[in-house]
Amino acid sequence: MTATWGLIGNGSAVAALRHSLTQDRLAHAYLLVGPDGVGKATLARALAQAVNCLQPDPPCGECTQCRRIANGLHPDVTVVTVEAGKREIGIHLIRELQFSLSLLPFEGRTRVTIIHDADRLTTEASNALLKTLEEPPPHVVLALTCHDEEALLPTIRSRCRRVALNPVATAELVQALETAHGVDRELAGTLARHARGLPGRALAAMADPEALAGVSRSIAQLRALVAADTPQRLELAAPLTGGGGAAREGLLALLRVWLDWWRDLLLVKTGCSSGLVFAAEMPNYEHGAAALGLPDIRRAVAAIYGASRQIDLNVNPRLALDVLVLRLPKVPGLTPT
Amino acid sequence: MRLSCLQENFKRGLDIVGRAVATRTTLPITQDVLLVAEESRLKLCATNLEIAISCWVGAKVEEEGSLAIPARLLSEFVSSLPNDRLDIISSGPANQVQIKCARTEAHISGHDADDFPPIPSVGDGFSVQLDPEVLRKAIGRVVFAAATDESRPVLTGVYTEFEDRSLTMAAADGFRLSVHKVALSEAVPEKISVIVPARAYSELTRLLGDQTDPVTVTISASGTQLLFHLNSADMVSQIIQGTFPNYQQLIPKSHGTRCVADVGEFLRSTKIASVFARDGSGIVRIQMGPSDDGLPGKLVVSARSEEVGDNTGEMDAVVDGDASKIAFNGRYLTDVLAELSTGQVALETTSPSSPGVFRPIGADDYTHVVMPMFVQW
Ligand SMILES: [Zn+2]
Repeated sequence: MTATWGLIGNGSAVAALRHSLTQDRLAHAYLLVGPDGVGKATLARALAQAVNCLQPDPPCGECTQCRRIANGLHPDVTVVTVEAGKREIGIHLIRELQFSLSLLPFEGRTRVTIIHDADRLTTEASNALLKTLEEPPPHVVLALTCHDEEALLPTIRSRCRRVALNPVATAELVQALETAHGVDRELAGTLARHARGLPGRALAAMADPEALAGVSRSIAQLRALVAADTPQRLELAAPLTGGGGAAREGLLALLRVWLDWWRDLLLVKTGCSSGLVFAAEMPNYEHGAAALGLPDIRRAVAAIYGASRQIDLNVNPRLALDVLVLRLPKVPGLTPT
Repeated sequence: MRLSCLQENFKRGLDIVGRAVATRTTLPITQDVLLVAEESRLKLCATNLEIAISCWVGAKVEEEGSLAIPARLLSEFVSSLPNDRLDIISSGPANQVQIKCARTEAHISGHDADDFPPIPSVGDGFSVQLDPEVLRKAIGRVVFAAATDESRPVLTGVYTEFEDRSLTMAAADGFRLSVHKVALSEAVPEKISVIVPARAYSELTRLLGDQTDPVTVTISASGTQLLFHLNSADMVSQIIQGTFPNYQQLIPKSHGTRCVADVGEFLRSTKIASVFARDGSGIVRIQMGPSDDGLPGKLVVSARSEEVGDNTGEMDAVVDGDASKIAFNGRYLTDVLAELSTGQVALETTSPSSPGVFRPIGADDYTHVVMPMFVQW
């Protein structure tokens, strides 16, 4: 493993952690803040490796400790996430955790607990966790990740050392995809632009060819919708919802694509045509920019953003989507690209 | 891996290590049992990351090897087989094992042995030999006082201290404290104290069964693990990190009243009173009166509740000091009296609001302190 700790971008965050590690000044708790896909989980795992690695310049990524952690097999590294089918991290998970943290490490040097989406801790869970943060056992490091740090108890925030991770420049992402992941330049460009600076999103799309096809499908669905009249729009929207939690995630991914499309259109309308996510859609963007005014486009962006937030807050997805499709302005004559 | 052994022996081994198979799914492979074919025996290991149990089964090993197999499936399958020769072979697809017995055959998918958590080996450190009977008694006298609520992890453990020629075990849950001292046959090189999960000691008692040979206890040099070497198995326990409350401070130094009574009678009266105490927060009242005018001293155990009614039980006792009264949670009383089970017990009190101390008569190895409950007399 190199000096990047396996992270794409955010070199200064890694450098700061490396420095603390070499100076033996690691904090007992870290709060990794940044958008989903930016690399919080990767960095948290690398931190767990770094404090258990057997080699002189940790994390090496090769020793038994590093490998067991990478494969999720290390008894001293616990990952707490929102359980399947739930929307919050309940207190029972924190209680279980606290007992295991009180035991000395099983095989490594340090027990590491990674709590993903810490902004989803219930109030009781947060208060229970606070006890651990106030008096952390000496052999324990906690890494909390979240994208909305405002949703955390201020007392939790104040007891963690904050590490902010920012979206990565497209050029840096393209280069990393090419060099570290052997992706050819053209695909790397497509993946990077679509990922909007979030390496995790690019890597997921790379690993899943279906993902890129899904993006094309989402754009086609959007084109069909904005070309249609009201009753037909509801018909077109109906099959996009339904199902359980997985469908909700799918719908959020769809809305991300739509949001990217409308942001592209906004850029074209305001005369900035570089850095488009879907460059191939240029003819449609030109067509849309001619047909719509700036306020129309802004309203569409706001409506999609609002719908995503509502679905995220557990509003009925069908309802949120129906409201959204009726709000999008009509743009006939878009062509497949 | 290719070996054969007797179904009966294999099943016994699975039963022994099965107690350590994880029920929580934090690390899925801990729900497996690790099979290691070595020289002339088969080693079985399981761990829930709090304790790890290993045991050995005599086997004819033709080819060494190891594999982790889902414990529950394996146990259920092996239990249903006749006691016959069992062939265990893993030569086909990776991480799959074939088990043949009489005319039954199964293929079970497992996991790479390298993925199994390494069973801690407690190489260096110091060892002491303990009489299993002494160990069983010590564990029995303290584990019930450990907390079951995990919000204060150190209280779910048993403070275990080796110093010079003695071993002291102590457990406390915030309402009661149990301290038991054991003499060691030889002195330990240095004082060492660790907090052992109470659950680990409970498992140890089960593993001890009716063993009469001494148990070897080894504490790793790093003080992070404790190994118990038994006839049937090896058990390694993790250590709870933290500071155990200074329990000496919790034991009252003096008393105003000392009442000595028969344990059996005291226990019986307490059990009866507890029935009447059920809906009154389990409060059992105790009154102690010194001998008066040639009449013997007495101990009165009573309980009352608005709905059920009341009950009073009286027994002879030797009471020194002033007449006094105190109330306890009935369950705490029955716990300690049931553990003492026979002989005589002394109850020492100072006031209705100070802790009561129980000590067996004829041995100064045990002290049990219970916090009183506040009642209107
Ligand atoms: Zn390493």
